[in-house]
Amino acid sequence: MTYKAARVVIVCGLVALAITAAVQDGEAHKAITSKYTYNDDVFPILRDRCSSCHVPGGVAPMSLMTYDDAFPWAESIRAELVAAHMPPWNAEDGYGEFKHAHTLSPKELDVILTWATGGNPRGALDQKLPAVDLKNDWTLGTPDLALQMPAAFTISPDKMEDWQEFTLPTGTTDARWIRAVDLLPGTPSFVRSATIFVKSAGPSTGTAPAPERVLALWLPGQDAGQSDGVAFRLPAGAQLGLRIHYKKTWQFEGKPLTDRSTVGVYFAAATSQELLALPISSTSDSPSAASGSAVRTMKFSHTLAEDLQAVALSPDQVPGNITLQVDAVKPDGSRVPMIRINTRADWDRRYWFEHPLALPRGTRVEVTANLDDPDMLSSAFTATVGAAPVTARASSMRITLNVIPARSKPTAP
Amino acid sequence: MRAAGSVALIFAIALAVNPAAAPQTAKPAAPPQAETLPPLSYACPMHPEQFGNKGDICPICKMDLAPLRLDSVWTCATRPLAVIKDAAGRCPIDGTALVQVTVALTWTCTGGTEESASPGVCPDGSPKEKHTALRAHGNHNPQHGGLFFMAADNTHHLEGAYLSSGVFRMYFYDEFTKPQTLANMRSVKATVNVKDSRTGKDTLYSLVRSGAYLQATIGKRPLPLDMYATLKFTPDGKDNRFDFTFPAYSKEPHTAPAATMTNAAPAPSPSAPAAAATLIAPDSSLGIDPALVPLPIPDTVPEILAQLRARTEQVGSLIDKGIFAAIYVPAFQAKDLALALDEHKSELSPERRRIAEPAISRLVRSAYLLDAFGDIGNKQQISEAYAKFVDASRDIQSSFPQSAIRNPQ
Repeated sequence: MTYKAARVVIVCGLVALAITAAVQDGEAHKAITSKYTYNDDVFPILRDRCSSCHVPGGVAPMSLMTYDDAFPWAESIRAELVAAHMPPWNAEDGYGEFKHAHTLSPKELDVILTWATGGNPRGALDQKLPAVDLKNDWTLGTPDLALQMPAAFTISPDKMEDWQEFTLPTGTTDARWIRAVDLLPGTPSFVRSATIFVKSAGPSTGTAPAPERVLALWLPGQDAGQSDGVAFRLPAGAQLGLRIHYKKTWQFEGKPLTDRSTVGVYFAAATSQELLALPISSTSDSPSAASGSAVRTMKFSHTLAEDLQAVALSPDQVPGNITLQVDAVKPDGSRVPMIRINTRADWDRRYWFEHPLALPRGTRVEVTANLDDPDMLSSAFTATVGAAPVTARASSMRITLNVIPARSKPTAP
Repeated sequence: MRAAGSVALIFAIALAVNPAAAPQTAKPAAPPQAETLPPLSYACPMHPEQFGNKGDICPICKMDLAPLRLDSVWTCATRPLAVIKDAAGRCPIDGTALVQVTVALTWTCTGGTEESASPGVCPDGSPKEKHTALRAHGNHNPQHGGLFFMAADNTHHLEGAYLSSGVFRMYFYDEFTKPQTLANMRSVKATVNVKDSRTGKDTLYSLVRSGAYLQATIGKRPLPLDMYATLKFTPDGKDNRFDFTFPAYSKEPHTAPAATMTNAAPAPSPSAPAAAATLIAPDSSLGIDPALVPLPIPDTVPEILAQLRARTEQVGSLIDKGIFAAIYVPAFQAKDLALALDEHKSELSPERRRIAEPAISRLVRSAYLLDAFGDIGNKQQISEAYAKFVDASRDIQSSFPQSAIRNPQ
């Protein structure tokens, strides 16, 4: 049996249907199978879900806000949605619960995929869609403290990306609690990601929870993360470090671009619970037992020495395109799924749990890394000749678990 | 851009997508398009899989992308574009069933060389002439009654045929489905591993050149016959695997006009207009795989769950039988069932909803993954995608109340 032919014949009934209908209407003969059109179905989803980046002047390499913008990218859109790469939220849905999740509903997903693979119909040609403009504003409202970069930075025309670190004095006279930190890009089209941290507090090493110094892992188009009742401590007169990854899209190849971004600081109540960082790395107390050349998974874990509550989690030293699963195995043997992330370079963030997870002393936080590329579609269509095996890059991994003591005791900063 | 190479392919697939939805609604899905012209695209003149915006350049050769319009037409399988029809039917030349191909439409003036992507009027007042050209990946139809696959490099195409003489033959094509000369394929090294369905024993054969194809005499084996070919296109290239299942011997199309095609044709949906039914396959009373028959989506959750379970199993059984190119049919039916369940999720407790909704999303994604993998014919990839699909389907089953399910099997 000729399957390809079979497929064609299977379809032919439907094409015939479409043709019959079209002939009755005296209309188009082009066989479009998508019942969803850009104008009526796809545009509203793209506007509501994608317009913080895929908009003229946005950080994404293409706008999707008009039919002419979006249609040529239909195949890419399919690949990105099937791989769950877009919208950029790398935690797997249904494994753990998070605040600020940025995903499409099943229906939205299907509407766009149907349109992308079904002939990309536009809809009525005379239908006018509203223009969508780039919104570049504070998502949490005006910050209590706005710290602009001391000087503008200009990326050289011949560079496509660059990493720059800036120091921002806060000028505070007292220690304060911070509930959230955000970034307002000066030139959104090339501010790709940023890390904002408290400077000059010696780097915390070791395996005991220490005050969290990384205030924000900023990504474009995302709500500034924050959790109720927990805060970062800002020492009096502290300086903030701002590390920005600048990345030009192809439209700006060979052109200079200048940015002067602003960090927004939001203070918390006078008494708060300090957020602590607990690093868990593949070289800590339970190193990977994996060995041999064909390693496809790596495991490492950390056993808690005290009663804690987990509030957030961030992968901070992991290779891209692997699957990282974190579970808490409690002393009674019960297993609590914390997160499963399909990692991607440039999309690291801090994932805030919907509810703090109580982790009694003796709980083993177990990290399992599966080094197979989770993006099956792209890996099938991409020649892998000469690609470095992930194992080579995965020898040392680290995640940071953000915790507070089991009995939260808000204090002054 | 990911999977950019399959851009053109998708236009061919596009027409095949979502067959299930159409008969169920039994009305034209999209509002009528105001113009009969297909939409304008921009593609590289040299690398037709490279699409982009107006004004873009090709990332490979830096040429300006040129405007064109892609359309889908029906033509004779072995004589592409000798005949161009708007709908399915028989080839007037050899009587075989017409196949669907993707073509590029351009318009020129008589004597002129400049191609335009739209009709219009020439300086002498005559209307521009319309031209139809085959597109890369516009035709993935087998030419010798065998099984057609595209290699993951998006360039090499091949067809495997198992002849009643006990010979396995492999034909090679370029991306325009033009036969490759063996001189071009000198570096191809290929073997085929045949599994005997009675003894379960594997036998490995090297394919050798013969005329315009590679072949091996593997003898008359019991049908259906499973085999996989392993190919290197270049001496240091990676192995490409293609899984073939032959339910019957392959027959050249002109000796057996479309018999295999009508076998696979679905029964017309009860709601389909009679006119459509006669257009497909007048002799569709032959054995039809139930997996390929579209059904309306039931009204009640238990019935939807039961049908979802059946569709999930049908995908698996098509994979087992090697009917990869058809797996999208039950997979998309399952997807539509899952989306119907999504509308019932408000009846679930918050805990169950937190399992159901992501599981439905995963099922939608893996259905499209199966659709993509069905075309490239690597059984392992298809099976991995199916594992995700089964996983999602099972989570959906478990998140909706089990007690309500009738007819558990």
